[in-house]
Amino acid sequence: MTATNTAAKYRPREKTFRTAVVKAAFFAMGRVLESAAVLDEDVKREVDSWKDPFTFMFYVMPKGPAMVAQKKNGLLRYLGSEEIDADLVFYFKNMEAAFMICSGQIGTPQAYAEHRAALKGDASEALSVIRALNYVQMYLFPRFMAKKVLKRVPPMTPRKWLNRLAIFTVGLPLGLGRFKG
Amino acid sequence: MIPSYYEFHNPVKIIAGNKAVDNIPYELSLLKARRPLIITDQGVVGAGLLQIAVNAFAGSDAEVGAVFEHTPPDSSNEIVDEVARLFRDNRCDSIVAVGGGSVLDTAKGVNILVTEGGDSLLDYMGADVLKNPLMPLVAVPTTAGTGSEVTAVAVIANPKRHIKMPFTSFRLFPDIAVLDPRMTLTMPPKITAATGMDALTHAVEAYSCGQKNPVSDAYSVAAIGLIRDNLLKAVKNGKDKKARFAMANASLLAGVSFGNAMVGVVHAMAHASGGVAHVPHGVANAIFLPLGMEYNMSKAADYYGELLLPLAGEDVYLSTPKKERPQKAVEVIRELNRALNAASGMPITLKEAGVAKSKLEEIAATAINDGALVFNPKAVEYDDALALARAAYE
Repeated sequence: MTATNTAAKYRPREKTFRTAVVKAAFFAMGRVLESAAVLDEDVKREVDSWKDPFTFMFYVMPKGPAMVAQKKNGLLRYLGSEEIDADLVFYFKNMEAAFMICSGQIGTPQAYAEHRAALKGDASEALSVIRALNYVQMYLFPRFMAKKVLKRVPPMTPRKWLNRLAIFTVGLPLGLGRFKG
Repeated sequence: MIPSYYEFHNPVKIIAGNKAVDNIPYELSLLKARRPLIITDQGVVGAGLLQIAVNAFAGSDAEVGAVFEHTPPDSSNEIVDEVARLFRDNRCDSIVAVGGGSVLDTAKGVNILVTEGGDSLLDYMGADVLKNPLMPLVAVPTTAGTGSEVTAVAVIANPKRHIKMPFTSFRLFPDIAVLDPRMTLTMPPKITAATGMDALTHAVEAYSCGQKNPVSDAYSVAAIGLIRDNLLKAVKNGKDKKARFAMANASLLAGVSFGNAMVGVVHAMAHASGGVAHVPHGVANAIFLPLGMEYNMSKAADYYGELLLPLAGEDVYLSTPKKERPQKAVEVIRELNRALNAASGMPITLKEAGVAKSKLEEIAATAINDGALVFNPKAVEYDDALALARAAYE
C-alpha cells in the first residue's frame, strides 16, 4: 500500500471574525486607555508611576495584530497597531486566546493562569499596566461582564460615569491624549 | 475543582536517596557534559557539603571546571552577570548548583546568560521569553526548601530597585534534581524551620490559587502530610535522617506543585519583605501564611477546609465540623509557627524579624507589583497589602 498525502483536503479555517473582533478590541483598548489617562485619577496615578519614555504592546502570535501604547513626556498615547520593539510585551499565544480575552469570556488573571499569554519585560511594570487596563475594562464593559473578567470591579462613581460619557463620545473616536499634548 | 484549562509540566529527573550525589558525574555524561561550574555558598562550604559533591568526581571522566562559592543569601542580577563570566572564562559546559534557593536561582540565572549570550540578566526578564535549550543543570538542594530544584522559575533580586524579579520559562527546569540525605543534615534549626515553612506555603498556596489543577493538588497534599509529620522533628533533632529526608521530599513535592500552580498574596508579601527589608524568604512566608489565608478566606475557604486533613491528620479533620475546617486550618498553621518559634527562635512577626515599622508602606507598595498577585484568588490593592503588613508587624 502506498501512503498518500491528503493534507490538501484539509485546510485550517481562517479566523476572520475573531481577527476582526481582536483588532477592534485592541483599538478600543488603546483609545480608552489614552483617554482614561487624561480623565481618571486612578489611571493617571498608575501612568505617573511608569518610567518615561515607556512603551508596551499587546501582540497576537505569530503575526499580529498588535496594540501599542507609549508614555512620553508624561503623556500616554495609543500609537496604533504596528508592531514595535517595546519595553513590555504581552503576547497572546494564538488568535483563540486573544479572542477569549478581547470578547470578555475570560479576564487577564484567568488568561495567565491558563498559560494563554506570555510576558516579555519587567513583571512589576506589567502589574501596574494591568491595573490601569482593569479600569479600561470597567469603562468598556457593562458591569455584569466586568464582574466576570475582573477580580474586583472598581466602583462607578458619578465622576467615572461622566468619564465614561466623555470616553465613548470623544475619547474612543479621537483619543483624548491629543488634546492634552 | 477541575479548571476549564490547565497545563502541567515537570521534566526534571529526580534522583533521591542514599549516596545520590555520587551519581552526578554519570548523569552529566548522559547529558554529554564533563566540565561543570559548581555554584555554592560559604554556608555549604563550611558545612563540608561542597567537598561531598566534589568527591563524587573522583575517578570519573568529568572534572570540575570552576567553583563559585560566594553566592550571597539574596542573589542578585549583578552576581549572576559575574558568575556567567566565570563560566565562559573557564570553558565550562554545565552547572552543578549545591545550596539553597539563592544558589539554585543564581544557577538558573547564570544558565540563561551563558546560553542566550549577553552581559546582563535584565535583558531576559519576563515569562516564556527564552528561545533556546539551556546548558545542563544539576540542582542539589541543601535546604528543604524552596523547591527550586524542580521549578521553572528563578527569583533574583534587583538591589538597585529593591525588588525581586521573577524569570519564568519551561527552559529553566534543571535537568536533574538530587536529594541526598547528607545534604540537609547540617541545616541549623532556625533555617530548618523557615525553609520548612517555605515548603508548606508553596503547597498551601498552590492548592488554593488561580492556577490550581488536579495534578498539582496531589503533589500539594502529599507535601503537606510529610511536613505535618516531619518538620518539627527535623527542627528539634537535626540528626534525624528520616525526618530530614522526608522534609527534602516534601520540599520537592511542594516545588512541583507550585511550579505548576503558582502562588499568591503570601508570596507577594514575602518577596516584598525580602526585597525591601531583607526578611529571609521562609521566615516571611511563615509570618504571612496565616494572614494571607484569612485574607483569601472569602474565595478559598473550601480549599483550606480540604487541607485540614493533611495539615492536622484525620482525627482533627473528622472531629471538626465542616464549616469550621477552613479557620481551623489557619489555627493549625499558627500553632505550628508558635511551636517552631519556641523550638528554634524562628521569628513569627515582622517586628521579631527586625523590620522597622517605617518600612511597611514600602513593603505594601512593592507587593502590589509582584507577579504572584495575578494568581491570587482575591484582588489585592495597596490598602489591602498595607493592612496585611501591619497585621504581620506584631
